[in-house]
Amino acid sequence: MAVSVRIPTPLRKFTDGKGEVEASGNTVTEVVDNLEANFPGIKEKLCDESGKLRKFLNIYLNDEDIRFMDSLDTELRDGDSLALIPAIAGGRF
Amino acid sequence: MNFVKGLKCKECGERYEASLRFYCDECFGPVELKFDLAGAVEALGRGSVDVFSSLSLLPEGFKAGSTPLVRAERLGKRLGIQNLYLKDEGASMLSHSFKDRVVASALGMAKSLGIKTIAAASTGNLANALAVQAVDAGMDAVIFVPEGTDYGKIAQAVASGCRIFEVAGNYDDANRLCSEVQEALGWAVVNGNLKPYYLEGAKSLLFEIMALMEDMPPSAIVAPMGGGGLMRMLKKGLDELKAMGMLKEETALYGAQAAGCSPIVSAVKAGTEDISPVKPDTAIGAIAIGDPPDGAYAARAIMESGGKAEAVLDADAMEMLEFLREDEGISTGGAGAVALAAAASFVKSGDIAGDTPVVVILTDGQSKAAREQARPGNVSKIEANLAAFRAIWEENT
Repeated sequence: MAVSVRIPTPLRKFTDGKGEVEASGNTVTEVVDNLEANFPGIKEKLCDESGKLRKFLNIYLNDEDIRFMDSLDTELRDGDSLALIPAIAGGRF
Repeated sequence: MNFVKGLKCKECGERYEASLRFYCDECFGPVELKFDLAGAVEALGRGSVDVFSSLSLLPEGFKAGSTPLVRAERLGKRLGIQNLYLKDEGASMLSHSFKDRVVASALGMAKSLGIKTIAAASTGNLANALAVQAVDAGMDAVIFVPEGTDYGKIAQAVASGCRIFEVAGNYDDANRLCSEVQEALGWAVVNGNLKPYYLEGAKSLLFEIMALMEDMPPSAIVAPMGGGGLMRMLKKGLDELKAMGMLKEETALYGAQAAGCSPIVSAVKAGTEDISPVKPDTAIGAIAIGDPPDGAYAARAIMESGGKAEAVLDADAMEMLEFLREDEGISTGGAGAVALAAAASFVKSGDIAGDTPVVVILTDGQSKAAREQARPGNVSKIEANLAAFRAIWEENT
């Protein structure tokens, strides 16, 4: 599955400054691995040592938080859009 | 005087200069301001009004804040709390909520950066607070509210003429859109990239309580929780008072949420800081935040201070509104009512001793939602035409 991934500013140093990149994978986990293959070093910023998504980073699939779906196991379709958004940006006081 | 030392990541400790930065580049954890507390005390005097204003980033001549701390004897008796005090933020003179404080601290930084357009996502109170102060500061405000927001609740924002976007979905959706606009257009957002400054204003609420109760510090402070930022900053304020040698006794922090949206309460009850987001299902819009950005820190604040958290039914909160009006003549919004209902429950369960001083924070004035829940019999809804008026008038005379 080919999907687009929106990259937050601090991670653009891994993506040659690009705010959106293409990636492939059947699940979010596979997309993360694909990103790592193309942009070495990025996975460590997304996931902790145990492979879990970092506490302060959220991933949205077509505007829905993947925690309301199957988290990193969420399945993807061709043309889906993923957005990596720092958690602290996604809430209110 | 400014005693800001800079920003520090709450998670990994990375340090940054004070700027439009709100999360850490290394781990995405939130950054928060660090102050030169000893320098502030030395220059402004321990416990002085000036030191509290400076540490809350409130500008000179700040019109709001200094809200009443009301001894609520009759309500206290009804709820079994002998020394009940209400911090009535509904009396805040600019927009009738504690958001006056946080907007003031955020705008101070925005002004120093020469920002002209300033945005926020809001369930209502923040919209009004920002609109009012942005006019004063000569800035253009842009506000994102969730679909179905009562326009009466954002009357000041509407009257200010600022741009308001009603976003399909709930608050979390409006806020996410706002944060994406911030990222894409480089806007300043009070509860986004200005958040480290925005949050600090909330400490002034705590400082006022502790200064007024210097001789009888509260054993418990009960506050409503939406995004968790207020609770987080109550703890930061307590920690700073302690560091300045101004805390004689421990004050425990107690958090309250509506049962239909209580991810922070659930975490505290499970003894964890891990927040599982929920889809809000409560009529109390001000705290209907399913994915609280400061939830983990709010949970930590409560647990570290020795407090507890409780979720209450909307109906129980609405009953509290009536008690509050009957006993004390005070009207508040649904969030404050949730805190009151939780306070009653903490005393009932023995988590708070009924004979110690307890402060409940009423975060805003009476909300439209609350009025709709308890519409008095002598108020009629009416279409704006003579025929509708006549029909009601003739029916009742």
